Amino acid sequence: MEIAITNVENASIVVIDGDIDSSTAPEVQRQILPIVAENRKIIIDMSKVDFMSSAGLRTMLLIHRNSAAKKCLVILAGVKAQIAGTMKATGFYAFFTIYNNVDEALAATRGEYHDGDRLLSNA
Amino acid sequence: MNNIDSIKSDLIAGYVKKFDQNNKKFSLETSDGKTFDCALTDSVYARLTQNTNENYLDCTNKIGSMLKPGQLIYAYGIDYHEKGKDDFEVKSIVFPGEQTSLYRHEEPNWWINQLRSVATCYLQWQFNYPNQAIDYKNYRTILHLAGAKKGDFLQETDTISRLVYGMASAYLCTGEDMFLEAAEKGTEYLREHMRFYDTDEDLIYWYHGIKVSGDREQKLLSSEFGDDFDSIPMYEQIYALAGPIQTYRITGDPLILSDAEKTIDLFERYYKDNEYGGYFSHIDPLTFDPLSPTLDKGNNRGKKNWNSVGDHAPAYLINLWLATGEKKYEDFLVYTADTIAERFPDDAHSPFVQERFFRDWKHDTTWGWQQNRGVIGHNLKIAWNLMRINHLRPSKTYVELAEKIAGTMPAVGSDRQRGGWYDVIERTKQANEKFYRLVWHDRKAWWQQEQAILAYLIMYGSLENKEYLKHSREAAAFYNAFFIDHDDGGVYFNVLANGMPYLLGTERLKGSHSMSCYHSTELCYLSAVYLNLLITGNPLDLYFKPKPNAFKDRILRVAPDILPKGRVKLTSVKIDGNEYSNFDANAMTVKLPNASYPLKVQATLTPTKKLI
Repeated sequence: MEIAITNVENASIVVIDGDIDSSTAPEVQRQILPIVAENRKIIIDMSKVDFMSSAGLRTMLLIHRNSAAKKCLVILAGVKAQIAGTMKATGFYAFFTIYNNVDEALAATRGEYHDGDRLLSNA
Repeated sequence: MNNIDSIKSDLIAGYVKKFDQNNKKFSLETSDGKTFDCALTDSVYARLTQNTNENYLDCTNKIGSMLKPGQLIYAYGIDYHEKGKDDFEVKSIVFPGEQTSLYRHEEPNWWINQLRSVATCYLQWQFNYPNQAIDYKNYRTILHLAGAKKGDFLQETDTISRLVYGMASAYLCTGEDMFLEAAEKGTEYLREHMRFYDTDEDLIYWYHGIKVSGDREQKLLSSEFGDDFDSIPMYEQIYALAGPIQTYRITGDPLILSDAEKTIDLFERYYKDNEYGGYFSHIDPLTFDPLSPTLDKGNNRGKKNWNSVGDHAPAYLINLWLATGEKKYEDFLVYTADTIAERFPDDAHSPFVQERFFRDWKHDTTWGWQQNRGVIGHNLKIAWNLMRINHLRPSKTYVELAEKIAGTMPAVGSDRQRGGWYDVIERTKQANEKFYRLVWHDRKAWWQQEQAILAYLIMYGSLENKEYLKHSREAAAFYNAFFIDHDDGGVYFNVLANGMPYLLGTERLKGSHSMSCYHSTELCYLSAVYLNLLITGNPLDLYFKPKPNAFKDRILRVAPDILPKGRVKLTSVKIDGNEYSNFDANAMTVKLPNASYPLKVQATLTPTKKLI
């Protein structure tokens, strides 16, 4: 698994490439948590993540909790159907703002999308 | 300073010393030896304690013949504080039995009938059964006094589990299939909706609950209670197992055992403190870290308490051992008892045990509502469960601590004038104070009475000290006189000091995080066991319905609780109504036949000794 972080416009885009499981989740946590800061916008591109285990789910929730505490907007983009299904089944899905892809997520950070426009609803 | 001398009604619980029928006067001696002079007023009426589903039992016409020396009564009356007229003027009387040595709650089927009645109420209230099918989608945490739903949409894991416990216990005692159906459906619902299986760690933890709205549900990962906010408290995980494990005793469903094993793995890997011993009370919901700074929000970082250290035993662990006979669970029980015996006594400071600790076992007297306060029920629960574990692995230390608690608590935690047991009490008192101070009120909660009844029943049954019989009788008589709701069913949450039901706020509710058919049914089940099998010498039937090949080696274990060795034997077994002989009377096990369907097993347990 590899992580690349770039700053675009007013947001940081984090591209995760590979599975997030018990062996890689700590690295996700190590790289993302430091950039969670007040009033920041972070888009996590999940389009290259095929599998996320329960350790990955908990790591994502940890990121969510930290971002909420710091009023930092974290958006998940391109979440694959299988992972979205797992997140829904475990009840974790409702915690996140999710868009189909990075472009739509970026548009949301510009204010072109509003909460009600989210393409995947909280089930 | 003036004395409070207004006209005042009150209750006196006591034993009749003498009765002057001509002058309608009698004297009552309370449990601690105080004597009160009483007068029967012209309007006095009397009732005999009645069970759930029984009609009012008026005995006004028999008052004269029933006020015999030694008879325990509850006399409700008015004190006018007039000089020269010191008699307590009695307006009503409750008799717990028709004769001095007869207590209605010691009748063989008393508690089983009560259990059936309470469980039936919850079936009706929660599911509108039998008019509708049992469906846990309709379960709601909060129920009004008469059982109506309050409109909340929260389903709490541990609260459903408590209902499941009640249903399973009702099946054990009655063999009526509706109770087992409710227990199994509830267990399945918990598994489907409340369980999180962590594939990485290969362990299970249980969501705090779910919010339901139509077909939508939102899972609540961590506790929403103020005390435990944004954490996974051990308390909730322990009680998530209570119902399923009681059901497991009946069915042997391997899915339940698997869930329990993986939940215990959670305890062992993340809650256990391998450095200082014991179990932490809370862990962070994401990192599973008991030392996480996030737990500071609830003042729960690196803490231990009664629930995390000791509540395993009554909530699920004893029942898990009863069903499996596994040594690892026996060892776990002994570990909890050893930890309690080593860490909880605090003789230098208080008659009450210390219940909250920092990681290194220093006393935490600053936490939330507890501060430096004792919960009467926890003290008594410790005595009760130390006795049970002592029967499994005899220990002089356990018995000594249980006896110390049992000997100390009546003076500091019970109402010696009116009967019944208080709630939460300051653990220390000032030099000029006679009584340990009651923290919030002088009300008496149903579950505190339960702990007293079970503690003193098992202690009398095991140690045969008559003082324990006396306390068990007084506690059970008070409970049955005042806690049963004869209008709407079930039992009241709290009564005032004088026995009147207290029906305001959350204490008006029948379903709640605390109630939900757990303590009231646990009391019934185990009172039936202790009274019949250890004390009054009556046989007891228990019912099981094992799934095909569910139990290891097809061995069904039917011991009702951890009782003193040799005091109970399995004397008869029926399978699907037919006599069956392949059982071990002393081990109380049944070698089940091969079957392709769940067998209905009726086990008759017979005591080897009778104490009264």
